[in-house]
Amino acid sequence: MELNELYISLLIGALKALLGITFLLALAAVNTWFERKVSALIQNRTGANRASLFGMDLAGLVNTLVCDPLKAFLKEDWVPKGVSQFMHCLPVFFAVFPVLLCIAAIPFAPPLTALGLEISLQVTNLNAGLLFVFAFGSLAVLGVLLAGYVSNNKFALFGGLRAVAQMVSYEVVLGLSALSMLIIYRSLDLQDMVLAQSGTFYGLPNWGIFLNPLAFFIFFTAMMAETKRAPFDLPESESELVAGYLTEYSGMKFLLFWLSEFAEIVICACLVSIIFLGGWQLPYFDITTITSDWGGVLPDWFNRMNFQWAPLLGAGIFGLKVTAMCVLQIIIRWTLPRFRYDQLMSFCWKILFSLCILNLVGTAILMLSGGYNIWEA
Amino acid sequence: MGSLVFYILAFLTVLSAGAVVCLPKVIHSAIALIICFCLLAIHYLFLGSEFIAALQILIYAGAIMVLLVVSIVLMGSAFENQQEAGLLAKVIGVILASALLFVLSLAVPVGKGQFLNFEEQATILFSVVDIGQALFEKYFLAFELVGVLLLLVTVGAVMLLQEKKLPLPEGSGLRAKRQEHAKEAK
Amino acid sequence: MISSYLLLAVSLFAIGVLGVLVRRNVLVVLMCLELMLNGVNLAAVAFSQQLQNADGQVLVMVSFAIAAAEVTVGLVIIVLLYKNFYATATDAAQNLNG
Repeated sequence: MELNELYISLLIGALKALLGITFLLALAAVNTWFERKVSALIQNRTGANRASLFGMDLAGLVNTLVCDPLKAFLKEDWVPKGVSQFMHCLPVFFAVFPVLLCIAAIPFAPPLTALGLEISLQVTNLNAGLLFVFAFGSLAVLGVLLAGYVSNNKFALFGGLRAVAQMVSYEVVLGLSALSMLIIYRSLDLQDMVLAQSGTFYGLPNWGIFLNPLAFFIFFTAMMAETKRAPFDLPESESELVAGYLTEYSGMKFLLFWLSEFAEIVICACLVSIIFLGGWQLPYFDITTITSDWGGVLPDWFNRMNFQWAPLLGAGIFGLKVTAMCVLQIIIRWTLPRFRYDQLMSFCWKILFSLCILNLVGTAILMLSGGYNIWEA
Repeated sequence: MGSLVFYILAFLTVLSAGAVVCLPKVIHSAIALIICFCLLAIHYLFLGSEFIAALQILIYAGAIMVLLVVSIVLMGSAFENQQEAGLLAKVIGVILASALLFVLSLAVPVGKGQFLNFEEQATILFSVVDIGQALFEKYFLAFELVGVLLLLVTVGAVMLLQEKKLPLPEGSGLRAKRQEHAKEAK
Repeated sequence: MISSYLLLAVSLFAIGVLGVLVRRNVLVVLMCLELMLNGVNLAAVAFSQQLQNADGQVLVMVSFAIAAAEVTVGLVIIVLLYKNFYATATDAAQNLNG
């Protein structure tokens, strides 16, 4: 590859990565605001409304997005007795870094044709994209475990060990339920999965949730358990274990753990949207067929720019779906009570695992008998 | 440019592998090994094997190391009075390992005057379809046997850890042993 | 290019052997065994790229599964060693009963 082409592709890749990370972090920050306000709505109270900037309260945005991070920045950064600073910081790295990397495989929009190249709006189009997201999810387990261990605190250790057992068990269920969708879509590449969901399926849109609704529920449940969201939040159960594995973390480290949890919510929403809700596709309408001139409605100087509507529209649709899934997770958190530990583990291994295997066998049978005829026009 | 990246990555990999062997505390060795596995995944990406890179992180760094770190966490109190090997044993170990390194590197095909010359060749990307075809058509028996092996290991691990509640004599339990150990250490 | 990767694989293997010979802690010995396995995996993937054949990748996948199984059983043995001798040194279990 010539040096010029190399630089251009590097620049485009860097821009895509920047956009992806910005999307992830911005949505994670907005999720913290959603958490406070939506929970307030559900619990019939006002929520955060004390802080205001220039007299404007902005419905708690100032409080959550300005005051909380500022408070965390300015807190003292301390480590427990007998623990080295390096070991105390390391679990934060393992918790945050893989979650931020997950955005690399997520496709935002249909491919964009610009500068004579076809740029796919995915930071990298990995052949095994879904597997990479699961791999980074399993790397996050180490962060939790080490956080519990290096805290030199029995409560934190209990929280860490519980979290590890829970996350490792639900990873199995997650992989199996995604496997049944993989049988239908025949590809691990997330952009291929979105492209396979165009068209209709017996009158309904060809989305994963209509093709295999059981897999949707299992995947969503397993992903919520994997990210330790309630009702599976025993590892950080506030009323039982002080703060679980986060007990000895304060200030910026705690905020980074918190950020990684909310970024995981966003990744979960992205995955569910892509695999089950059609990604950037609209139902019953293929947005890649929108020509740039809207059938002669727009003026001529605009048409000469050959502006591509499909990627922009696709990105907007994807953002809406992701936000809806995030809000759904937050609503579920504040609606259901927490599981007891033995209920949690038996739910995973006795109920969800058996359902997953049955789902896999049923999907395979249907696929072989030609029931899922999504591959025929 | 590609060779510079490779050399930096290779140096870091060997450094972290050395850290696994040399660091005195077990938990530090475990973290160095996790870093080594992640760097190896990057090496696999350079060799066009995305599937294997993802599996490396998923299985090694995400499952095997979690098992090891959990066992370090639960059995940490036994490491305190660990006697490490004496100097003679370490020297003999280093000599043997370098002899092995020397003999194995003789088998590596390096042309004349070409030592450490990283020429970039055209790499192909192994898709999941390729690996699936090889696994299910050519090596199907291996696939089935691996399934049986994993079943055996699961059942065996649970069986080995079953505790039979027989009446034991007084000083043979773990608590008694720990007290004895503490008394000896004083 | 493949010779560089093979040299890296060989050095990982040799470092693993060094660890198994020198360290007295059973968990570190297990970790160095994993290093050796990874050296071999890297060599297999390098060869698979050189020969442009997917067979090396299949070998690596089977090796992953076997490594996971081996670590499980190894850790079970270490846990039993700890329960019976309250030590994780490689020379902990050196006396017979009676």
